[in-house]
Amino acid sequence: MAMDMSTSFSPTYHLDLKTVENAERFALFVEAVAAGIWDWDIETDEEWWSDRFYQTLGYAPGELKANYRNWLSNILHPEDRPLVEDAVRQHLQNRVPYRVEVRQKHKTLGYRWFETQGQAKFDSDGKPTRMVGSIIDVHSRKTGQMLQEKYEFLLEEMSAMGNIGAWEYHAGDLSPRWSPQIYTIHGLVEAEQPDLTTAVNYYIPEHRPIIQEAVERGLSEGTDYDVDLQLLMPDGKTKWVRIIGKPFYHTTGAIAGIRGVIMDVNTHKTMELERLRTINLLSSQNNRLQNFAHIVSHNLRSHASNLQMLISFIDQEKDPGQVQLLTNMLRTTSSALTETLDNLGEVIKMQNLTNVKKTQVNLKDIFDKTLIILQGSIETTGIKIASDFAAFSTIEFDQVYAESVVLNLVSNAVKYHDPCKTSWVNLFTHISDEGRLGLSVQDNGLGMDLDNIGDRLFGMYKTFHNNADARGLGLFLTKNQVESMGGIIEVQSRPSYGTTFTVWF
Amino acid sequence: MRKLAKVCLIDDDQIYLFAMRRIIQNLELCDTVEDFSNPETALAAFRNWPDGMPDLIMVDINMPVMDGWQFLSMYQTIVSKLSTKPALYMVSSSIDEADVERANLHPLLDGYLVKPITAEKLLAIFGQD
Repeated sequence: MAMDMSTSFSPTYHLDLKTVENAERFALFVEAVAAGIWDWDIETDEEWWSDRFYQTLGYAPGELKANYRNWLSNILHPEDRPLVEDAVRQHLQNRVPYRVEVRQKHKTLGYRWFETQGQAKFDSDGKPTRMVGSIIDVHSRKTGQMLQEKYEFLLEEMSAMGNIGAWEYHAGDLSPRWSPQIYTIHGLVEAEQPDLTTAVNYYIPEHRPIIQEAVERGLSEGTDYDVDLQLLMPDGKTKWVRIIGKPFYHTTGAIAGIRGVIMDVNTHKTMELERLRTINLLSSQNNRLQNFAHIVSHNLRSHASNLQMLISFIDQEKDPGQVQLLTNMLRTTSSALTETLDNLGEVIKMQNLTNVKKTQVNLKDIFDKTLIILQGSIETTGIKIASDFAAFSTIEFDQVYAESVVLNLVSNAVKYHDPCKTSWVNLFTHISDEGRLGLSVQDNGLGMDLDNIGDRLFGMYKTFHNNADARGLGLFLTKNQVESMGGIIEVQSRPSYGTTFTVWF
Repeated sequence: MRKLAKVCLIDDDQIYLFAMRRIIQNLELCDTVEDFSNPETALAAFRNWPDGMPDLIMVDINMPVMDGWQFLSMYQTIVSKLSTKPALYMVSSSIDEADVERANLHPLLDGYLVKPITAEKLLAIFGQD
């Protein structure tokens, strides 16, 4: 039939046939596509909706009155109405292609997302007469896309608010991949990716080996890491960051790389360190205050009660010889009281740290000075004193404290020498495996049973030998001076073998 | 008041020992006063004292080589074998609450005395005995 029609010479007939054929083809097409079709007569406002149009919205064909007003008011989401009206006007007046994503009310499922597009037909005057178009359900794509946008937004917000950046490093790559926030944390503008070495060098020198080793171990052994390190910022300041890294794997099980986050924890970390410093300072001050209270309570009171007793005796005594004896005792007590007060003065002086400052201190000079001070007792006891500054001879310390520490340790060694032995004292510097600088004063003197003495060794007014010179303040001061400079003092001792004090700077 | 046969003072403060001896003798509270400036010497003496233990012991807390508390733990093994134990007082110029509390709880101690020890305080102790 089509062949007949095409060979026909009657234009009218031909047209009619063509129209029938087109109508059939159109009907087939309308049923075949997944879209709902609408046809809007602009003059009457009536519309024709395809069966699929109804079905797409959950209705039976013809169930709703098909006209533009009805669609605008009852099917279209009210919030999308301005968008549609504007797009239609733009299309009809300016021929802007009509294509919008809008919500339409499904009979049972509520509002769903559709894409609708259409094309108007214009008469010879350019006036639109009708408009034909389609609707397609794009709900899952649209909601998926919206969800993704929402998560991207949340992630971006969280990363900015929490100052957290994500990174990823693939084994063998030159550079790690950074999220924008990491540049912000580093104080860098987002530009080229730094290579691994450059990235490591953004940390302060003493922290570089830590991150280097963490990454290497992560890549070779698959170990996670979580470290707090300091970044060296472009302005020369430092910033604490927490770096978490977790290896990820190829499907073969081989380590593919490491991914993780960097967090700016500077505020918290600085506060935490400040708190720790304050706690340490407070507990050491508290210790000193307790010792101070103790010395005041005990030593001053014992002198005071002796004075009181002696004076009451003198009041009652008639014998001038006895009075003389009591007066001598009064004198002894009085000078002991003065000495106690002097010692208290020394302790108070040490509480006031304003004059203390770290400078380069020469231990050898200090040692020589100490020998001159102790010359008398060294000569009378015949102790051999040796020194060795081969490892190092200068340290960062307060000059006065260093002199006091060396003098106290050497004079202790001299004081508690064993008279039955050929005594010696050896002062030497050394460096630990961890690179810490140490100064040791070793003797072969009386030694102490540290199990019995324990932490009382460095307390105020503790003496552990029946020695007339023992004031018991030296080690207390020494420990406090060493600790106020950030050092540690250690002791090893064995009765009748000797004692070694070591100061770690 | 019964006059005691022997009192033992342990303290590293020579002035205190002198004063205590003088007060005890003036008040004629006992026949013999023994004093030790080192608690280890006192313990050695207790171990081989031919005439038996003193009736009353007063020991100082703060002493250099061995303090009062350490003395107590050594002393415990010596007196555990005795049928009649000497009266034992802890003496100190410390008014530290911790020391007072610890002394009050100690089973071997009869009391805690704060220096200075006056004649009145001594009479009170000797009166109890």
